[in-house]
Amino acid sequence: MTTSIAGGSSNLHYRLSFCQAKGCGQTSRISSLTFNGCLRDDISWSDGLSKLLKFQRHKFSRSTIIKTWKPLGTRKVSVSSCLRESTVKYFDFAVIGSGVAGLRYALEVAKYGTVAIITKAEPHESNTNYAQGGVSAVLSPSDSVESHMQDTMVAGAYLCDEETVRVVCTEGPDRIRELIAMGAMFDHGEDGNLHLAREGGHSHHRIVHAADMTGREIERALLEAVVNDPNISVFEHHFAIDLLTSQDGPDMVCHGVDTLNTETQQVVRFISKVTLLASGGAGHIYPSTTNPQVATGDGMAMAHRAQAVISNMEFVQFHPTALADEGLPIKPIIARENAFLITEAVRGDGGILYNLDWERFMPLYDERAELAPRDVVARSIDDQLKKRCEKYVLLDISHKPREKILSHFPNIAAECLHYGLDITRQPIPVVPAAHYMCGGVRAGLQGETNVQGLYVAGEVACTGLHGANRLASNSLLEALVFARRAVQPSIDHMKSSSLDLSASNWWARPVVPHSLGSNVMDDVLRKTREVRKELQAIMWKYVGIVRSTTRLETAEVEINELEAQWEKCLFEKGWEQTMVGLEACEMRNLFCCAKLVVSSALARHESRGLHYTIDFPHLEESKRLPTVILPSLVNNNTWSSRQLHKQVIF
Amino acid sequence: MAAARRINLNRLFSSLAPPSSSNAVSKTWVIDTAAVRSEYTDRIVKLATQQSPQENQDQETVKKQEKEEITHQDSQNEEEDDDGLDLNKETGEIGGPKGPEPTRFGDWERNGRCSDF
Repeated sequence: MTTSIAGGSSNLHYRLSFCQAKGCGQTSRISSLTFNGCLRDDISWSDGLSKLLKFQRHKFSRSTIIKTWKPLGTRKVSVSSCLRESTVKYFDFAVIGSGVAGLRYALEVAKYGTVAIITKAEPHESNTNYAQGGVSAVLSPSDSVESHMQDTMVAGAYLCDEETVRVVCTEGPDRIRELIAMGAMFDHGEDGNLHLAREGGHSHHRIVHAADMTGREIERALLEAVVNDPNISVFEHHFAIDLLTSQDGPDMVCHGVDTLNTETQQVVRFISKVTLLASGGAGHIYPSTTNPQVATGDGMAMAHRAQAVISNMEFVQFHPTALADEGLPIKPIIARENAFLITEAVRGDGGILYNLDWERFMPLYDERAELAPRDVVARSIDDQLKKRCEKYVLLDISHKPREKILSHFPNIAAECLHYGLDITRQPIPVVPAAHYMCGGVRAGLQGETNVQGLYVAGEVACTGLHGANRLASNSLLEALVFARRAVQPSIDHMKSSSLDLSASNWWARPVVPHSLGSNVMDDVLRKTREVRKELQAIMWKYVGIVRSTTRLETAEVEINELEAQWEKCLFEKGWEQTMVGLEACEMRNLFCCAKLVVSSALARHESRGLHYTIDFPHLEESKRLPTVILPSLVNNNTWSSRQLHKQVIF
Repeated sequence: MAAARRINLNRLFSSLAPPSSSNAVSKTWVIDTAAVRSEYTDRIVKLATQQSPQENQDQETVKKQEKEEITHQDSQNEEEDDDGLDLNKETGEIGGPKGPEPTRFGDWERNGRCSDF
């Protein structure tokens, strides 16, 4: 890490100003970097960040080499050595996450070496699997890449990186065709062509889908191919703890990842020449989210701790109307795993929004009332909830004919009836739910990060495609394109890397806390669960849809206090710095992501796309820049902000 | 022909089913892939030779009209094509969701539940 940039402050924020070559499709060049008041020279966007952090070009200088690692071709191979309770495995490529990005990448790189796919639950548990809509691509003769690009940039409030958008929109169609060749079955029309739907924000029909389970279908096709590939080993129920990194001169290098097998409670260390982070989103920093339980921001947190650059974390996409369990007559016994979103069609068909005093509030915010754009509705609901300190609002469709309600929305009707609510006679309780993280680990056009040997793809990455707001169905597309693009540089890096087989000893090992005993572990678990709920409550209360500087600063203080309190409790009970457990590690990742979101939100002094703040309620052209968080170089004094092991410096 | 519907393990792996709260979303209508593919191929060959250049444009117009008239077409919406091919007459889609176009109000909805937007 170039300490010359440090300037002594942690969580450095700075602005990159773009010079967007409008309409020319040229590489965006950074015309100036203002950093603590200093100006730097022109750098191209795609390698801007790595250059910024290095200042001078340094080739990856090889450390002491003992052996050249040759890829092995047999399935489930591992040169493993057992050391007390922990195991070390060696692979050419390690993939963290088994969603569309991880699987797609694995299938390609497996042609060149051994691959480990590390997934924290079952392989199909991913945000991909819950993506029931579709994937967008230009597949109709009447459509065009320029149109898709334009729609993306408009949706992204012009914060998108133009080159990234062009690349993704151009390469999308080929990625879809490849999926079809791999066996994914998308729906067709009577004319024999792919049936293309049109979602909000798109000016053409371009959404490819498989009934209403596109993500699941893609996941199924990819998993089938993965299972049949002899070079790929899948490690289910392996929770990734921290990336294994070392500093080689000015470069940070990634050598693999430590994991915890949550079924056997064994630590497994993966040493790999190349690591792809494809760990998905962080919806569970909020209390209500559409994301499955696995989405706790593990990858973003690990990358941040590994000194990777993080970007645009303030842009969290919420859906305005998820079913609010608190408002149901019969409360679900088991907390709903992921939010039930109520479609816009309810409002489109005449549904009215009321607060708990039965005041129709939408006309106060927009003359289109309930038919205002989704973002406006989301903000309005959030504003009402915060002003009135309430937990949900009401969406009432009961004034419509019963038969129409039941035939249009049988799913909502059934779900609500299950909990004692008849939507033909009573209003539906709704609350906004977190859905997608537009920001994440900063990626170049090849999915590269500022950490050598570490690549990212999918929701965990911030590629510049989504800008300040994601266009519908662009997320699966981004995952496919970047997973593919990261392949060649990964192969090149793998071929030029050699691995010291004693590397596994360079870092202190994580420890499973057997020594604490079950009573202490129960206490730790209970406390951690409470703290998670408290963190989610803070995030929703202070870092929701309508923000303000005061609320964000309050969030910062409260989160830091909560984190200190939690860690104190843990360490007082005997928890040690290198101890690991699923819930505790998830908690430290949630803290890390929450703080990244808050810092990023505080840094943006304008409102754009998904980030709305009453202190800076308008768009500012001069602020049309990504928010970038550089690694913390000092004051890493919390467990969530430090890697478990010490870093190795050559 | 309509009877030729058997459980399709490819499309609806029970082992890949999401948690029960979202089971309600995916309908359990099933297709026999092989049977559909062969019927499908025959039909596509037939249709391809009949396809008019106007078809795509017409489909777009039809879709717009359908969106506007949605409230008047309930009883007809769920009607299934019964010559063996799982065709949704309203959207022109084969093997797709039944009923009105899921994206007619901008988001992706099925029976009221939204999954993408």
